[in-house]
Amino acid sequence: MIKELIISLVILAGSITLYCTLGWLEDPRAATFPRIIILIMGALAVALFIQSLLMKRKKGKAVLQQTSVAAKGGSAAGASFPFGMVVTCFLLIIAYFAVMQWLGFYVSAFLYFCASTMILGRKDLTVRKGASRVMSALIFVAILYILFKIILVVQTPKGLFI
Amino acid sequence: MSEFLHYFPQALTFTNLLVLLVGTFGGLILGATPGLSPTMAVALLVPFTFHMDPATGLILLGAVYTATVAGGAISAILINIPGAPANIATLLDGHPMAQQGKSQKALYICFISSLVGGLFGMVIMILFTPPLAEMAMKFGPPEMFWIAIFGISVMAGLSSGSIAKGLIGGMFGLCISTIGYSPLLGIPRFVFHDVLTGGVAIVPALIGLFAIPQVFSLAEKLNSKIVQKRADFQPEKGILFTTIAENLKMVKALSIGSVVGSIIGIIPGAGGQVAGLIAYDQNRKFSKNPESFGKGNPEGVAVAESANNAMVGPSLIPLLTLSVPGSPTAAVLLGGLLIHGLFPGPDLFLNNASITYTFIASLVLAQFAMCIFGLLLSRYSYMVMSVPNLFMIAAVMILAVYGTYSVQNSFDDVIVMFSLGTLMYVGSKFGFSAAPVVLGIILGPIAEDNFLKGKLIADTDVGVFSYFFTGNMNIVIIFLCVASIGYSIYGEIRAYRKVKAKENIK
Repeated sequence: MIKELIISLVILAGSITLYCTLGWLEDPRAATFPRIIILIMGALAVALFIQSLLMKRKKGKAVLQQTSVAAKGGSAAGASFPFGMVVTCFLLIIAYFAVMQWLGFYVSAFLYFCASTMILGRKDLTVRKGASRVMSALIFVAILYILFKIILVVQTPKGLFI
Repeated sequence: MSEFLHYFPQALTFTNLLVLLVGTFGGLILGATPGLSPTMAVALLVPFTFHMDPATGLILLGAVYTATVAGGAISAILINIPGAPANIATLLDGHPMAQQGKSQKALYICFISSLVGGLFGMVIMILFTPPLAEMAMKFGPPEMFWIAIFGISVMAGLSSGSIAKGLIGGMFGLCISTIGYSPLLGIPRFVFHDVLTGGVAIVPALIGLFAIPQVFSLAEKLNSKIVQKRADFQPEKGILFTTIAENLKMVKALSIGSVVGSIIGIIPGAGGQVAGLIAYDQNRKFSKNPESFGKGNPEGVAVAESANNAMVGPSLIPLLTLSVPGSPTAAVLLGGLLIHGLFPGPDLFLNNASITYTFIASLVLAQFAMCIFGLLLSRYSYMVMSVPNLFMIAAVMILAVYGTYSVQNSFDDVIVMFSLGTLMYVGSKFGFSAAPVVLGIILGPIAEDNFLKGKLIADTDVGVFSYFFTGNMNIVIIFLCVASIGYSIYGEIRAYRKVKAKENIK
């Protein structure tokens, strides 16, 4: 229930902020449609707030327990949320984007494929598995290169390499 | 019907046929791969169609749509995980059959029944689409505005557990669609960063909202200790023709599946999972041995698969005539249509008849291709199951970047795609679903454009209230919106009472 209350308040705050920004527009007629949408969204956030207060479920306890375990970084025990894995995945994608602007699409895609399979799958990583993951990355990127660069002749982000 | 037959040969050109076969083959594999939803598969493929002519591009998307729904049954039968929501009913008897060593027979029944149901659905689509499109010709700005709202309300009610959250998602999508310059006055709105100056394009939004949450969800499951109940795949020789004969004798199951699937398909937003489950339930009720269902009864597989494939064709009727998609995948297909400059409604059948009927003809051919490839692939389908999630994460992410960048050769779109996707992933943890947001983004310009046009007319005429809230068609569509939301609220209250009653018993 706490989860529902928090999200409804966040949406309400977001709606109020967006509504206020519409006041800055040069011509108020341009704000007519977005204003109606935001008002409805705000009203729905209030409805969600009331609904979560009215529909108190015992299930709420489980959600709280799960959240607190996740917040403490609890791992594999039971149904805890694998926060570390998701954050690692997120950071790898950010690094992929950063490298792509420097090295280009194909080289960065190869590096990202290798890095994500090695880092996210580090638990069972062996020399043999590592080699197979590098080979898979190479084959995958080679297929993309043939398809995009040679057959479809499409633009991809360019960098120092291809 | 005459137009359909007139344009049918265009679907048989070398390029179109090749794209159809590749799309069907690829769609079966994508559908069979656990972790890849049909909606995401179609969303990732939309950018590939930029380099094709509109008819060929739509053939690719249509073939993948058809094949992923059928392909999802492979993982449902073999590892008890439906490849798509539409295959939930298939696993009820499909997986028990696989556990009894009848995997191949279950797969054969699945593809033959899919063909029967799929063809039935296509006939319904061909018969009903043009008359409905003609009716849509009479729609003015207020009716078009309400139709857009109806589409969002239906999707909001059926794809989220909570109608309030579904509608918030739809409104959020409408808000995103207003980013950039206003259509009539050219004034920038919600442009908080240069990246947003041109607004949010449909393809980056589609890819971000469907692919990125899936990437994070796959990452979540990497260390999961949940053991998949994988059935041993035992190839059975020489059973194809006996299975076909046995399957075609299941007239009752195939009829119930096809009819229920088609009816459910026409109802916007109802989707394949509803079709499969209702048809399965009806067949069990009419069966002489209802207790055999759930224990590996081949009729269970036949009814579920004929229903979810019969849904495909009719789910495109409201999409092609009224811009109201029948399922989340159809919503992505709507994005594909708009990107090629094709607007659903009478325009599709009058000015773009060649493209539209070629697309419809290709969907009929795709049913046969799906069945043939499916039967051939059955022996090797277990190999698809062994693709590790680790590889899926990397491959989906790389394809998402390519697909987004290729729209306007802009890295800004990639940033927008990833930001929206990450936001959607966080939203999904709070019970929000991507489908209403996507529909809001797609239908937003239609809703705003018609609202502003209608308002301009109304201000000089009868007034806004009378213009938008009176008139037979307006009242009918408003009633449908209210009924759709009301039904969802009723369903939620009923579900809450059931939970409460169970809690009280405990």
